Amino acid sequence: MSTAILNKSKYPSGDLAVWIFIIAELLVFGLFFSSYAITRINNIELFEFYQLTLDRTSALLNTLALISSSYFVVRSVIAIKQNQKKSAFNWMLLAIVMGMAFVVIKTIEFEHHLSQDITLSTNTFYMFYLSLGFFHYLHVILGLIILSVIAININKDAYNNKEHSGIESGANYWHMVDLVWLILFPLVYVM
Amino acid sequence: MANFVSASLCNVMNIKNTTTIATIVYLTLVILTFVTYWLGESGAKGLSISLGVFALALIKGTMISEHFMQLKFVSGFWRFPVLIWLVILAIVIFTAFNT
Repeated sequence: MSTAILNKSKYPSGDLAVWIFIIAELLVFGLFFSSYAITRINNIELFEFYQLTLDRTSALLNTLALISSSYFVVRSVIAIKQNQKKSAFNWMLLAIVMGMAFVVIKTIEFEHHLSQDITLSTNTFYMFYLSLGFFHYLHVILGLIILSVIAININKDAYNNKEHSGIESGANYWHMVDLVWLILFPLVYVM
Repeated sequence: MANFVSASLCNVMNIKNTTTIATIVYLTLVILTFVTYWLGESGAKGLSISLGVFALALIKGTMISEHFMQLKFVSGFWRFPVLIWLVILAIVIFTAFNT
């Protein structure tokens, strides 16, 4: 990290293959968000009406959970770069707990809609809300699996202040999941 | 020896600086999230509110990209993909909401 701070690097932290994957994921989510915004043009009243049926407080809690989780991952990476493996493990564990909080809250939200017989075919707004939300939800679950593997690797002393590419790759993926939610939250729940 | 000590000291200071910046970014993200929520709950409607809310999301996205993903320490090609993604998304969404 010190080298990165003192001199700009030509490449981002972590594995470049993961960065290509991250960019591909961002493109897919970008298409989803653009489709939502363009479809809304001819359905403004419908979108604004059904947007009010969503639980904005759950979305707020989920946003706070993901932001906190991302921050804890940053702290874990910093700790590894200082060779503080116990601290890195604890920060990673906290990040996983916050990610799991997101999954629990989102599952309750989905369950609530399903209990009201709301499905993808209910209307155009719910089609976007459910598909976008579920697509992102799957990414959170994948991210949690990655963070769990990283936590196990920290315990096995797989990372240190010289070799930390693996933890940085996982961290970047998790930040991407957070970044996408930071767009999804205002676009679908607030605007 | 002197070089080694100063390099270590520099490393410690950089780590401390990075931790402080990350914490400030985190707290700012939390505050901006509450502002977004409050704008939604206030019932305020209109194009300027919607675009203001999305502008806050773009600021938050940039903070994640620059500080959490550490892209501010990168030069050349890899410096820009995430920022370009945010800009293109902003253009599409601002245009769609203005139409």
